[in-house]
Amino acid sequence: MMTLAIAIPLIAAFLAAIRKSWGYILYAIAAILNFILSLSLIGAVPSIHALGGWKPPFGINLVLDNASFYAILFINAIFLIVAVFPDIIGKYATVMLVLMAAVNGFVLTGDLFNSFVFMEIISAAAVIIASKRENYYSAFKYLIFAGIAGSLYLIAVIFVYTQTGSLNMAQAAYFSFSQKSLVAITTLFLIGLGVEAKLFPLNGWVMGVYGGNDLAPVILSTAVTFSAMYMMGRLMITIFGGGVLQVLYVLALITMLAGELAALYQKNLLKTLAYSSIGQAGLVLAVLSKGKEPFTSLAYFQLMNEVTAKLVLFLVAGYLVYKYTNLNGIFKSHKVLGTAFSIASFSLVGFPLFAGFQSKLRIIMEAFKGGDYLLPALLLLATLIELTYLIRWNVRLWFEDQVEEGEKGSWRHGFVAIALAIFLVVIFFFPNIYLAPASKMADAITSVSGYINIVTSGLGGM
Amino acid sequence: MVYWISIILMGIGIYGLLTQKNLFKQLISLAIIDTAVNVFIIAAGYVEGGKAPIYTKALPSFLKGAFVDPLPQALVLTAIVIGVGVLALGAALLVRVKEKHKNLDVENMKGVGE
Amino acid sequence: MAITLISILALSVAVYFISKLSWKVGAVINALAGAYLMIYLFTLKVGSSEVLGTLFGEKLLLTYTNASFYFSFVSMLVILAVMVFAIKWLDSQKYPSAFNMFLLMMTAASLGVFFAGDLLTLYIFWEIAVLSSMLIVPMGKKEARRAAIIYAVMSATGTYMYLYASFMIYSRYGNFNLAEVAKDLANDPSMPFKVTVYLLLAAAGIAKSGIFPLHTWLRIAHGNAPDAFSAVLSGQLVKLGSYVLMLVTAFFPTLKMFQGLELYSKIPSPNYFLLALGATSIIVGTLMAIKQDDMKMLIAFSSVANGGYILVGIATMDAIGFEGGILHVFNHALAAAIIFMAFASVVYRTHTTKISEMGGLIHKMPITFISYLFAIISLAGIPPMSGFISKWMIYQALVRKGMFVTAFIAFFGSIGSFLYVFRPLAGVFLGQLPKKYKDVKEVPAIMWIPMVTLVAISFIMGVWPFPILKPIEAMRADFAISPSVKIADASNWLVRGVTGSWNPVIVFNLFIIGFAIAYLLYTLFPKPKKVDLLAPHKEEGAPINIYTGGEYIYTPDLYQYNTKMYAGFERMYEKHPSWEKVLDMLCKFFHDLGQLVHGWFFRPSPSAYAFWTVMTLLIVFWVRW
Repeated sequence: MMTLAIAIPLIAAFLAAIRKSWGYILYAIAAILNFILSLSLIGAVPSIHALGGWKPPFGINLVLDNASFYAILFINAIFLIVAVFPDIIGKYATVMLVLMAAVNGFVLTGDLFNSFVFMEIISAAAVIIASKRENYYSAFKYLIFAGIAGSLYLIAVIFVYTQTGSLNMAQAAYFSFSQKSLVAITTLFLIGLGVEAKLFPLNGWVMGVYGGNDLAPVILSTAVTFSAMYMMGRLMITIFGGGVLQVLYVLALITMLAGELAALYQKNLLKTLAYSSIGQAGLVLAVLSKGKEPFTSLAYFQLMNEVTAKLVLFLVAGYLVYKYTNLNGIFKSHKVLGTAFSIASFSLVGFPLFAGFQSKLRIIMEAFKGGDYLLPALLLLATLIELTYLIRWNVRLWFEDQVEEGEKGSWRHGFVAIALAIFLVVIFFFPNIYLAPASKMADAITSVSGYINIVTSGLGGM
Repeated sequence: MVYWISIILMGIGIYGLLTQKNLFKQLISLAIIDTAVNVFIIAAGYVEGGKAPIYTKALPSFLKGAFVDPLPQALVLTAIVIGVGVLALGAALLVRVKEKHKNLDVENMKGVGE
Repeated sequence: MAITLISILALSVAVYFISKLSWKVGAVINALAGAYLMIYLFTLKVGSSEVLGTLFGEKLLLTYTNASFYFSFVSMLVILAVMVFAIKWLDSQKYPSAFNMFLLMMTAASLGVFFAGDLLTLYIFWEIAVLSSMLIVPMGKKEARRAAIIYAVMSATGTYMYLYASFMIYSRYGNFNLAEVAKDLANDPSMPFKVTVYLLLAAAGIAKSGIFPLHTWLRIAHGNAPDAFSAVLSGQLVKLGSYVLMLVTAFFPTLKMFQGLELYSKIPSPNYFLLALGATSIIVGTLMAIKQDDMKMLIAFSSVANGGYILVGIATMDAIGFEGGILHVFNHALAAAIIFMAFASVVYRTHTTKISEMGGLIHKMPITFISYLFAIISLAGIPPMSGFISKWMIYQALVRKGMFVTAFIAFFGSIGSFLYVFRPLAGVFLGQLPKKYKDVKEVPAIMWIPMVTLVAISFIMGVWPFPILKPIEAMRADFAISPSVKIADASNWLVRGVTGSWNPVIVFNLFIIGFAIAYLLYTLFPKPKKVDLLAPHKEEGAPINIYTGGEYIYTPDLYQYNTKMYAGFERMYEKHPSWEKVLDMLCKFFHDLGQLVHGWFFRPSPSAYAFWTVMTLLIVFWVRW
C-alpha cells in the first residue's frame, strides 16, 4: 500500500510529461489520491514494506510507523491544499508531482542510500520550482548548495555502510558506533540535512528561493521543510542518538536570531517571510535538538503551527506581490486575505487566541522545567524581533494610504487562506488536533527500540 | 591510496567553488566533488586482491575476499546518474542565467541586485 | 465572570459585522455592552473565584478582589464615556467598524486582566488587550502607523520580561496562582531570585504605564491615535500597567520579601529602584510636556508624569502613600479621559491638534471649555477637584517617610503641571479666535454629555471622596499595609494624613465663597470689550495700519502668543539628552545587525555558500572531536 504513495505521483508525473495539458488535472488527482491513501494507511501503522521481498537488513524497505504516518499525512494535506491553485502551479505540475513522490519516499524510506536518492530528487525538483518567474540565479545558487550538501550526505551514508555493512536505518540504529565515528557521521548528516532544514549558516539560498516566486515558498517552506525536519529527528535522535545534538542546539539558536534579525532588515515582503521561516526553523531545530520528550513533540507541534501559518502568509504574500507593485494599504481592497494574513502573523508571533501561543508557551515552560534558561530568553528576544517586523507589515498593508487601485481578488486564495486562519484559531482552543499527532510522532522518533522492532518483526504486507 | 585521490579531488572541487567567479566553473567544481565522492565510494568497497563482482565460470571459488563489494558499485551507478541529472539541470539553468543576466561571471552579472 | 468575558469577546466580533451594516448601531451596542459591564461589576461578589479553563494542565483562574473591582470600575467609567462619545464622534473616522470591534475586545480583555487570579491568565488577557488596542492606534494620523509599531514593541518588551519571570516562578513553585505565589515569595530564601522576578514582572507595568525608560511610546501613540481613543489609552489602558505595578509591589509582600535590603526610610532597595524610576518619570514627563506644541502629545507626557506619581505613591509601601497612589489612578484616569475627549471635540470641529493654530474657542465651544477647565484643575492637583486629594496624600507619605528629594520632585512636577495644562487652555480656548474657525460650533450633546458626566463625578469625588476611598481602604486591608489607621474618616468629613487632616467639604465651601466674591466683583466692574485681532480698527474690511516693533503687521496669526509659549523656560533644557534617540540607536543597532547577517550569509555568491559549508564542517569537527 505505502509504495503507492510514491508510485501514484510518479506515474502521474510521467503521464504529465507526455501530455503537458493534462498536468494540472493529473496533479490534482494524484494529490487527492495520495491524501486519501495516506489517510487509509492509519490501519497499517506500524508496518514495513520490503521492496522486492528483500527482507531487512538487505534491500530497501519502507517503514510506516507513527512518525512517518503523520508526516506523510501532513505533507500530502499540504500538497492537496496547493492543488486548489492551478494558477500557482502553472506549468510546474510535472515537477510538483515528482516532488510529491520524492517527499513521500524521503519520509517513508527505511534505507539510508534511498533517502539520499530521494533527497537529491527533492532538491532537483525544488531547484526547478525555484526557477519559476525567471529566478534562475537564485535557483542555481540553491543547486550548488544542495549539490554540496548531497555529496556530504552521501559520504555520511557510505561511512555508515563501511561501519555496519548495511544501509538499513534500523540496522544502523541497532549498531553501536564508536564515539568518533558517530560524531563524524552525524556531522556530515547535519550539514547534508542542514541545507534543507535551513540551519545557519547553510541557509543562504532561502532568501533568493523563497523570495523569488509564488510557488517555491508555498511548497518548499511547508512540505519540504516538514520532511527535512522529520528526517532531522529520525537521523539525529532515532538512528544516531547523541552525536552532535549540542552543536545542533547552538547552531539552531544562532539560526533563530540570525533569521529574525535579517528579516527585520528586509524591505521585501516575500523575503521578510523567507527570513522569518529561517528564524522559525531555528526554533524548531533548537527544541528538536534536546533529543528527548516532551521537547520532540513540542518541536513538531511548533513546526505544524508554523507551517500552517507560513502557508497562509506565503499564499497571500505571493498572490499580492505579483499582482501589485506597491502593496501599501492593499488589504483595504482584500479584506479576507488581509484578515487571514493578520491572523497567521499573530499566530506566528504567538499572541493568545492563536495556535502559535500554545506551542511557544509550552516550549518556554518545558525549557524552564528542564533548567534551560537560555532558550526561553532567546526565544522571547527572537519573538520580539519577529513581532516588530510582522506588525510593521500588518500596519503597512492595512493602514498605509492605498497607492494602487485594488482589483477583485481570487476566491480560491481567500477561501483557503481564511479557512486555514480559522483553523489556527481552532487549534488554540483544541491544541490536541496537532499536539496529539505531534506527540505520537515524537514517541516514535524517540523510541529507538520501537523503531528497530517494527523493522525486524513487522514484515507485514504490501 | 585511492582514498587520497578522492580527497585531492574533493579539495580541488572545493577550491574551485571558493575561488572561481565564473558560475560554469563552479558547476564543474561541483561535478568534481561528485566524482570525488564516487571514487570514495568505490574505494570503500574495494577488497585487496578482489575481482570484479561478476559470476563467471572462470571464477575458481566463492572464497571470502575474492570479490570486491558489489553494493558500493551499484550505489555509484545511481550516484552518477543523479550527478548527471544535477549537472544537466545546472547547465540548463546557467543558459537561462546567461540569457537573463548577460554574463556568467559573478562580478559582471547584470540585474542581480540584492 | 468567565462566561461574561468570553461572550463579550465573541460579541466584539459580532459587532464588527453589525457595524459593517451600520456603525451607529454597532457603537450603540458597544455602549450598551459597556453599561452592562458597569452594572455587572457591582453585582459581583468580592472574593468569588471561577475557573476559566485549563491550559498546560494549569487552571486559569479568575478571582474578583477589591483591587479588581476598583480598577475595573475606573476602567469602565472611562471606556463607557468614550463609547457614548464615539456614537457621534465616529462619523469623522475612517474605520468605524474595526474601531467598535477592537474597543469592545479591549474592554473585555482589560477586565480579564483585572480579574485574573494567576500570572498566566493575566498574560493572556494582557496580550489580547495590547493587540486590540494596538490595532486601533494606526487608524489615527499618518504618524500613527509608526506609533502602533513602537507601542507594540515597547509593550512586548515589558510583556516578555513578565512572561519570562512568570515561568521562572512556575518552574520554582509549580504554580501560577497569584495568592500562592505571594506566599511562596514571602518564604523564599533566595534573594537574587526574588529581586530578578520582581523587576522582570514590574517591567510589564513599567512599559505599559509609561514609566521611564520605556515611556517614549506614550508621546507618539497617545499623540497620534484616533482622538477619542487617546482618552482610553491614557485614561484606562495605562492603568493596566499601574495594576501590575501594584500587584508586584503591594500584593506581593515586598516588605517581607526584601527584608534586609532596606535602603532608606524602611523601603527595600528594589522598591526604591521603582520609586526612583517613578520620580524620573515625573521629571521627564513634566519637562517634556511643557515644551510640546501638539496638545495631545502634551497630555501624553503628562500621563508619563502622572504614571510616575502613581508608582511613587504605591512604591512607598506606606498606608497613606499607597492609598494616594491608588486614588491617583482614579483621578488621572478621569482627568486624562476628559481632556482627551475635550481635545477630540476640538479636533472634531477644527481638524487640527496644533495649539498655535487655535485660540478663542471658549466662545464657540463653552461646554468643552468648562470640561477641560475642570479636568486640568484636577490634573494639576488644585482643590476642590479630586486630583488634589491624591497628590496631597502622596506628599503626606513622602514627608512622613522623610524622602525629601522625591517630595521635592513631586512638588516640582505639580508646579510644572500648572505650566503645561495652562498652555492648551490659553492657546486653544482663550485668546483670539482665528478667522477660519468663525463658524465652529459646540459639539452635539451625545459628545459633551459623557465629558460633563465625568467632570461631575470627578468634582463630587473632590468634595466627598469617601465613596471612592472605601474600596481603596478595603484594598489596603487586603494587602495588609500598615499602619492600619483609618485614613478616610467619613463621619468626621476628614481625610486623615500625618501632618494634619483634610476636610474636603470645608475647603469646597471656602472655594464656593471665593468664587461667589469673584463673580460679584466681575459683575460690579465694567465689562471688557471684545476686539478684533487687529484692533484698533473700526469695522470689518477697513484698512488696517498697525505699527509695532518697527514694522507693520498684516498677518496677526504669526503673532499668536502661544507659539513658543514657555521659550524662556524651555531654553534652560533645550539641549537635553533625548531618551528617544537612545532607543532609536538601539533599533538602528538591531537593524544594522540584520544587514550584517543579510550581507554576510544570505546575499553572496555560491562561493561564499561553499565557504560557510566548509567552515561549519570544520568548526563542528573541531568542537566535537
